[in-house]
Parts: sequence; C-alpha cells; structure tokens
Amino acid sequence: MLSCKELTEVATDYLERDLSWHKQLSVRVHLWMCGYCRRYLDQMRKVIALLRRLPKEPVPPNTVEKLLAQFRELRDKHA
Amino acid sequence: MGRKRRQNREIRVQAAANPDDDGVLVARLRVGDEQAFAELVSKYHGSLLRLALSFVSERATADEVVQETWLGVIRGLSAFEGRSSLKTWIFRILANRARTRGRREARSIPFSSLKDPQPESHYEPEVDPSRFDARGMWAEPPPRWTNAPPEDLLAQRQTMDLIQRAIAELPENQRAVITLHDVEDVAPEEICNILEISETNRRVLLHRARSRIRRTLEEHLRKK
Repeated sequence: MLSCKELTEVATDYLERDLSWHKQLSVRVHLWMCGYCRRYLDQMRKVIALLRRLPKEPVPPNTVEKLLAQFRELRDKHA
Repeated sequence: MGRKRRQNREIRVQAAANPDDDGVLVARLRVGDEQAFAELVSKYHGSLLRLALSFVSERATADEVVQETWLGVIRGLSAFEGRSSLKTWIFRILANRARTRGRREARSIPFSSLKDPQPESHYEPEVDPSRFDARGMWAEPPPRWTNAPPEDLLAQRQTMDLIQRAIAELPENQRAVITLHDVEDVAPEEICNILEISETNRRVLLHRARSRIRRTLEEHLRKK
C-alpha cells in the first residue's frame, strides 16, 4: 500500500491528473482510509486557490502612455 | 488613408465579435491600432512584471525587463506566426530578455540551473522526513487549518505578505514555474515552451514550490 510519505510526494501529480491509472487508484484508496492525507491534500488545494487569487501587480502610472508613445514612434517610422 | 481606416474599422468589428481572438488582436496591432496596443498593455503588464520578478530580484530591473519586452513585442509583431498563443509568445520574449539580463548580472543565478531541477544543494524533501514513522505513515500529521475561504484569507494583509514572501524565497526555477502555472494560469505545455524545460522538470519544480508554500503557511493558518 502507498505510504503517507509517498502520497505527499505525488500530491501535485495526483491533483494535476498526471499519474498512471494504477497510481491514481492507489492514491484514492489511501485517501479513503487516511484522514491526515485528505487534510494534506486539501491544504495543497488551498495553496493553489490562494495563488490563483493573488491580486495583479498594479501597472505603474503613465506606463500605458509611455509605451503608446514608443508604439507610435516605431509604427510611424515603418509606415 | 481611407482604405486604411476602413481596414481598421473592419478589424475592430471582428474584434468586437471575438474579444479573445489572438488573430484579430494581432491584425489590429499590425495596422498600428493604438487602442489594441493599450488593451494589450493593460491586460499583460501586471503579469509580465510579476514574471520578471521571478527572474530578477530588483524591482527597477524588472521594470526595465518588462519595458524591453514591450519593445520586443512591437518590433517582433510582423514575425509572430501564431504557432503559440500571443500570451505565450510575449512571456517567452520576457523570459529571453530576463535570461540575457541574468547572464549580464553576476549576482544572478545562472538560468541554466533550470535545466537541472535536482542540484544537490537545492534538494529537500517535500515534507520533513521526521514527521513520518518508519513505515512512512504520519507521526506528526499536518495540523488543521482555518476554514476561512481564500478570499477572506487574502484580505488579511499578513497572509498576503506571507505568500508573497514565500514565493520570493523560492529558488528561481521553482518561482518561475509556480508563477506561470498557479498565479498566471498558463497551460503546462506552454510553460515548458516559455522556460525551455522538459515536462518532467516542470512537474518536479511545481511540486517542490507548492510543497514549500504549504509548509510556510502551515504555522500561520493552523487552527488556534
């Protein structure tokens, strides 16, 4: 049977469905019996959810204007 | 001039019908549509800055890398063939600029370390081995975490700072992969393309990065 340690090693592959059919099944069987590993996996899911929701880096003021000026300059040079 | 204006209008009508269509956006950019360029900058500038910060640590350097990336985008538009998505193409330009910059700056870790995800000095287990017993079962199991939803947690300044710091402290290669995969939601095969790494390396690096961040959050989110 898969150990808890082994489960923590394949957690990402399991969540991304990158495991073989057989390995995926053995993770499921283990999770069915092991509350701690279910908790571990839930925490990995929470980490992913937090990362997905990180706010965007703000665009510094005048950035768009400055880049537009360069865009215009290069465009007109090649027109 | 009239012809060009008509052409512009036609492209804009198509764009309104398919707002996410790269082809339409590229066509608008190629005819010099300023609005299209402004849209592109607003859409990707923040992401590019974040990705740049995964390669270089100084904010000012990251700003420069992003700036150079946009120039590269403007100059390279005519060569864009649509073999990858526009987003991947732009991210790839940034990764190349950042690598060149990294080579120039002695303090930066050589990016070639990306090719080898398991240099001895970086290797560490996902979970401290002392937390398992001899059979590999939990001896010190993960503590319960607060049930608060991610939105509430991120609203707390402390959690947000902790996550940002945890990302910043990752080895460079792990930082680039997790930024692309989990923060920017870039498809796995595109990540390999942008960073020029194998699929196996991508998986290893992603797993190490997530495990480390989980470990950092463990103390903070532990149910009191």
